[in-house]
Amino acid sequence: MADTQTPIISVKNMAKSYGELAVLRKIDIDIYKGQVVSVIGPSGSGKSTFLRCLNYLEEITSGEICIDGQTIRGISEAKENKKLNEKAAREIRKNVGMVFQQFNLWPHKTVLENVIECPMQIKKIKKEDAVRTAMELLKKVGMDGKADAYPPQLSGGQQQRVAIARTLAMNPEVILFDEPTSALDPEFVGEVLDVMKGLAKAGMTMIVVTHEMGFASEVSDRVCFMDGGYVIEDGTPEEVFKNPKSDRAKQFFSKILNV
Amino acid sequence: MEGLKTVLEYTPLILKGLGYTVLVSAEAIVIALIIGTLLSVLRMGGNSLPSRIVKGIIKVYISFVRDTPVLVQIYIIYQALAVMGLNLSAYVSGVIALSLNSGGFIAEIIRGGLTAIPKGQTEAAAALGMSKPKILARIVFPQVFKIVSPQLTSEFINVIKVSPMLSVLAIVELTRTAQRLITQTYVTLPFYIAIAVLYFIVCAGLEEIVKLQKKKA
Ligand SMILES: Nc1ncnc2c1ncn2[C@@H]1O[C@H](COP(=O)(O)OP(=O)(O)OP(=O)(O)O)[C@@H](O)[C@H]1O
Ligand SMILES: [Mg+2]
Repeated sequence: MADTQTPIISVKNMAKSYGELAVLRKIDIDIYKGQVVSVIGPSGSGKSTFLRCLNYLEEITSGEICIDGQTIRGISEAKENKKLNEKAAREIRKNVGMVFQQFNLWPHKTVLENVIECPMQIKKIKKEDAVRTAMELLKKVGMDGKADAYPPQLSGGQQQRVAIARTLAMNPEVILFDEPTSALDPEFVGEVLDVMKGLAKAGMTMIVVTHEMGFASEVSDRVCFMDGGYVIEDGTPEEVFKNPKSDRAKQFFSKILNV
Repeated sequence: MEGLKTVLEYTPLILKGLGYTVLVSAEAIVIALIIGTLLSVLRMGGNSLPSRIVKGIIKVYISFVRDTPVLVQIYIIYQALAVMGLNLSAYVSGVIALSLNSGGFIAEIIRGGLTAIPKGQTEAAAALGMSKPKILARIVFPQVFKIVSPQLTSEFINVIKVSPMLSVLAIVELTRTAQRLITQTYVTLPFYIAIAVLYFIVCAGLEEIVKLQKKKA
């Protein structure tokens, strides 16, 4: 199913530290168009940091990330990398969307305004066209009935579905999800996972940091287990869940399965 | 009663003084808002040497504005502008002095408001590809101004209330007008009461307008 010719995201030798604290030690990973990759691992293992490096919400210390012909390089390697990275990041962000644990909708704008904001402001799309697309997307996530509501009036699940629509409005090639259901009350988890399943089925390339092992095993083509700043398992859900190679992964699964 | 009659006789002059007070204050408030916003943007700079220097200068500036008498600031600005060879009228110097003073306070007010915007909101905007200036203009400041509107209103009222100090530059605003009429007519208290009422109407009116705006929003 996945196009295995050229990776859409290619990470080489990436490391990231905060001062003395090495969070990502050496990450090498290629992600191909249409893949749904779940990233799992214990708290503090660097999953969010990994995701945030991909669209340059965090600088990387060394190594490189190539997305769509744009390259982000370690800032410790050359002085001018910061400037170059910022330029590359502007291009990358056009193609890579992100959905956050805390939704991060803009509370002073209505649902519809949240969705049309970036298409109008960045892509200079005319309002009527932006609104039409936005309403289609809101319909897709089941939120067209709340177009005029303000985010604080919505449940977490509703806010997250709007956040997904807001990301889709920029027509990204890849969407990064950082624990999109972790801040939700249990009864709202399903509706968000359903939207994500729909996207996966439609062929969207997705990287999903998640604690939802059900989602990881049913929906993703590929599961990466992170620990201690490395990706130590990388394979199909079958391989990773049923036959983990490392003791760390075995321990982790036995712990979460016992809960 | 005699006194009230005298005051009423001079209504046109008093209203003219009031007009100046409102005009001076309004101009100072607008410029101060711009100064305060610019200062708070400059203070967002990172940890590089140039931005640390800029932040240091702004900090000194704000302390100076807060911890010295407004009257002294007005004299200093007036004299400094003259020394710099700028041939500005007392009116313009006065507006500049008030703006610089209030701008420092507004920068502090805005700084408080900025801390109330969760980082996630600006990150989401950045992740969608918004530029930094756009993020400030579209996401951050609209919310900040709403959050700090009570403090901003007090600051605006403060500008109106310190505007009588401009009378030292011979700007004939409301208080200066009253003082002139007092020396002319030997009627004192009624004039002061009259202008107090006018200041009250303007300031309380401003507060009400802001409240109404808030309800509508
Ligand atoms: N801005 C930062 N400054 C310093 N340390 C940070 C920063 N952000 C994250 N860290 C540290 O980096 C490590 C990895 O954090 P990260 O958020 O990537 O973990 P995670 O795998 O996403 O964990 P969780 O499952 O709890 O979300 C943690 O030890 C964290 O304290
Ligand atoms: Mg995390």
